[in-house]
Amino acid sequence: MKHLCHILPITIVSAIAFTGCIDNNYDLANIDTTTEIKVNNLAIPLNVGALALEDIVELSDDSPIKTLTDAKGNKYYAIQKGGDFKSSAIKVAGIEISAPQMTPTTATFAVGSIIDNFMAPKRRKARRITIPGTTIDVPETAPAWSYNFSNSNGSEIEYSARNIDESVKGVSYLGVKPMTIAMEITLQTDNDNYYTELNNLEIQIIDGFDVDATSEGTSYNKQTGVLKVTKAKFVNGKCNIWLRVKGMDFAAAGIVIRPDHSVIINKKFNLLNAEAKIGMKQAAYDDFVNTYKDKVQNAIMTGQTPPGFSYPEPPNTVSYGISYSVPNLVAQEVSGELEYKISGLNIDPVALTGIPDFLNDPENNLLLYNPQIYVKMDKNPVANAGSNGLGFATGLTLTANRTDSPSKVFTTPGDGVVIPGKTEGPFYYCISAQGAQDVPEGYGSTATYTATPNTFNGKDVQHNIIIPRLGDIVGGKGLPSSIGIELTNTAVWQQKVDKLQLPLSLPEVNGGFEFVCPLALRGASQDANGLADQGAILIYSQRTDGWNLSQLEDLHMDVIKINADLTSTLPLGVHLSATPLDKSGNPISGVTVVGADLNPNCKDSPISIVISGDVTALDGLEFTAVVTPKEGNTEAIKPSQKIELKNLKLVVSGKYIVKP
Amino acid sequence: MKNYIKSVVIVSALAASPAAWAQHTYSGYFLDNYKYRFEMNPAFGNDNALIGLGVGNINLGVHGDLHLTDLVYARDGKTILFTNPDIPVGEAMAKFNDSNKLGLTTKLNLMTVGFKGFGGYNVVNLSTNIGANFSLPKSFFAIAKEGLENKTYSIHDLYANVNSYATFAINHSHDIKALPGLRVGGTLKGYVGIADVNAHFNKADITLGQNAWSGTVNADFYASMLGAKFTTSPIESGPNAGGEYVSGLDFNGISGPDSFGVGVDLGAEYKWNDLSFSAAVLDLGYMKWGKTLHATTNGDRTVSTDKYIFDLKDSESFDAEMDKLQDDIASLYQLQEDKDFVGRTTHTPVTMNFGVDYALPFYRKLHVGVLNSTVFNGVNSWNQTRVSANFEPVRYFSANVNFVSDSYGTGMGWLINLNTGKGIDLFFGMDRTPIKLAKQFVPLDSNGRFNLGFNFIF
Repeated sequence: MKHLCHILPITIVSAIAFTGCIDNNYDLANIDTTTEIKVNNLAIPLNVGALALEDIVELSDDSPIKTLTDAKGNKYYAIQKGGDFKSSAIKVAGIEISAPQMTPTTATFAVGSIIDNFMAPKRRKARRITIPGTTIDVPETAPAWSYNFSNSNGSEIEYSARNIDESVKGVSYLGVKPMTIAMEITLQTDNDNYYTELNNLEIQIIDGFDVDATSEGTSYNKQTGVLKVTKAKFVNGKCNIWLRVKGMDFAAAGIVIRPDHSVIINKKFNLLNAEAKIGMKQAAYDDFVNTYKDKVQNAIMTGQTPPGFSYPEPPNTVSYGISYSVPNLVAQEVSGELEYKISGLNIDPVALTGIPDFLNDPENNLLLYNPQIYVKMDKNPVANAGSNGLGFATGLTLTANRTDSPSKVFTTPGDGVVIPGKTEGPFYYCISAQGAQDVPEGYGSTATYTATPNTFNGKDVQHNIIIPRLGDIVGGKGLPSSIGIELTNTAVWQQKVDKLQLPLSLPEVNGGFEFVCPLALRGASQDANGLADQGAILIYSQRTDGWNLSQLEDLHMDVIKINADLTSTLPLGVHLSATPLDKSGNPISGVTVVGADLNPNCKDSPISIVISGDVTALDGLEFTAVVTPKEGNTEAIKPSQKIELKNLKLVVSGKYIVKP
Repeated sequence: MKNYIKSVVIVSALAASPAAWAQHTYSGYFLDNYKYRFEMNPAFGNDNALIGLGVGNINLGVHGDLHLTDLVYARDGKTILFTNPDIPVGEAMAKFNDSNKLGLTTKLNLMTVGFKGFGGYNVVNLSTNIGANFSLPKSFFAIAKEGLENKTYSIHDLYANVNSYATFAINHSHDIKALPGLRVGGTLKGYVGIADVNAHFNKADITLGQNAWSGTVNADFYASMLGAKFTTSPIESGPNAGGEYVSGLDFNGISGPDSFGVGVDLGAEYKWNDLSFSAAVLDLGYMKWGKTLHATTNGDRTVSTDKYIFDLKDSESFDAEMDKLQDDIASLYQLQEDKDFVGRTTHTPVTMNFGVDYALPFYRKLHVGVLNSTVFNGVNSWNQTRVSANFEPVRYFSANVNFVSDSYGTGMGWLINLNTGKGIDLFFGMDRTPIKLAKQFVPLDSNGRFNLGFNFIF
């Protein structure tokens, strides 16, 4: 035990000597846990299915983007909007030319003043009267005097029609409801033994009347308006003259529609000339001769010298009067010029809302190959108006309405849409940039629009109307808010009408339209004038951010590559890039992105997007696709067109640094 | 007494970390005063009767070739991880082996009675062995240090084992009078297994290919532990939908031993002049485990990303495909219970020791020895060669210092044994002495074994 007491301390010291020493450099309580894990060109392969456009394009029911089907049964995307339109009924008011109340014309003339050579009429035949004891010769017939009679102080007349329908631009002939203009001429002397009469009267009335009947012995000259009465028949000093009017030849009468849509016919009815005659009534003359005979007989009997024979004194005065009965002219038909503005054709604008995101970027310039608008007119309401029929025409204006920049306006050139007369409808028209191509159901076929243009009443009837730059309709910075479709200046253009019934009441213009705008993006090209057309640009950005992945906060990526072999049936080239985003949603600075170019209609074409720089704290990616169609592209994008990525690899180089 | 022993065994098993093989105090192999040499060679006996209770021989140790210095570096006054960018890749990766092992072992001799008799020396011994081993493949560290790249990462050497058993041994050794200098001995052992848990990836390959990523897993999990049962969760989707996968191990206490086995130690020693040759084979036996839980992948399970096509057009379809991929990836490690599995028989880790001892003629109290030990234990097989100087100046004191080269590197050991002739016997030492310690006294090397014992001698 004593030995043990000696040995134990030595042993303990030795044992301690054999134990290890402390290395203070290793302080496990204060380990710097900074860790770096490298990622060395790590390729992450992904298999993704082919992506057809129909898979990513979601169309709501109210979206103007529709899926249409062509003649071969292929579906394609187009902006499509259709509808009907209807005008107000066509009405042309009748024309009624009101007649004035005419004051009768009266005049009293001293016979001496109107009979220049008032003298006894030339004895032309004697009547031998045997009186006992003598014979005397007296004129056989009663004395009479002829003279020319006129009355320049006629009655003023003003036929007028105000507020003539504006559509009546000119009248050459107005067929009227048959009416009779009547005149009553009175002619009397102040001596009842005398009579007076007029013959070969020429009465100035309104020229241009189309007369179908007159009083006996009466004729009317339309050009001069002179009414000739060869033999006026006075009964009891009155003579009635009439003529029945069925129309009025405005052209002949030089009557025009005034700018204020009125017609005023000012004329003076007067008696231009007449062969007047004043004569003693034969009975009275006979009495006068008998009285003279008695005087001669008495003188003979008394031995006085028988008086010579002399005519009795003529009357002192002649009273003349004429009164008129002039009814209104009520038009039944018109020939002339008509221009009628058809109103009420309103079409709601095509609101470009509900557009898929990929078409809706504000930087898009959506230039299209061949927007088309089809217009159908069911029938021409004025096709058979008058004996020749009428056509009407309308312009069509498409307006790309924008709030932040001037709106673009596209209007049909030339005569616009011309609907001919004397032809049964319906009528079809295509207004487009390149011609009818996507004819909607109910609008005929392509052949409908290739008919040879003809003319009607001076206007070209074209069914295929080209507006060369219509493809720019939705072009510009972003899409317009809406596309206005207006039928402008819709009217029966000014045409000659013949025997157009008045008043005119015809049905409204009915029709429909289909705006078909295939999403065939126009490629860059040069036009015929050598001017560059930059073509459509479609920019689509899709951001996926807010990942908030703590694992990515410490990941420093030097290079990110996205490699793939791409097959595309899209007729579009795409420049695809991806921008890394930080937690604020901003692009990470100092990063270079080299995008990939996807060729149209390519097969297994290798692409690579390279993001280089210090990509740290990645919180999202913003993919941007700049789409440019190939030159000469006419093909609309189709739901079936696909993008297929084979051998898709995400290749990452960098390091993962975890700091305490 | 029987219940007492049983309780001691069970409690000891629960209280300690697992072990894979019986650990001995190899530094004491050539020291005559070290009373537990019979454990390393049953031909070794003692001069005195011996009683050890509880603390007769305590062996605690860690071993492996995955060292703290492989994982932690001192740079510029800082302690940093090997994954720190300041550590060059080549420098860091040079420290890792293809398979990087780490183990804990504990052996407690609960009761030892040694006495002379039957013409030799006899020992009755009850001990527990508890240990754990796990192995990490180099790929693990390559991913962390070299970084991810497109190649195949094989992690098939990933395994873990927890093992606990008690040994009841009866040893007898005696000289062979017919051949002077020869002494032979044998130990008959009875094993009582408490727990044996093995998780092993037979195959675990992750190929990060340019065109597809794939993973193949073939794994088994065994748990022999009475009172344990798997907890399972339903597999709602994926290739094994409708089944259940093992989601955990429900363990409410060991209700008893699950294994019994037998084994023998055989040994011999031959002394010729100043030389002494010894050889032994230990733990030549087996253990038959009763109720054993087995979860398995049922062979290879493979998932390759090239069969998944993600439909970008349909988020639901995309999510469904992603779910399918996740399900299939989950199926790689969703082990299913093999309910038909009844039990298994394991061999005990066989150890072979060969020793040569030479007493220096000019001072025979100092002798040198060379010991070679090999443990045959599958992936945990292990070998050492130990050269020692043994100093036994007086009967009350002996000491050993040795240098060892083993599967986990080289090191130094020592042992000091003190006794009073009759009365008490005390030894302490370290089969592997940590040369350097971290500031917090954590060995920088993973190999350190501490040996301590207190016995009564008569």
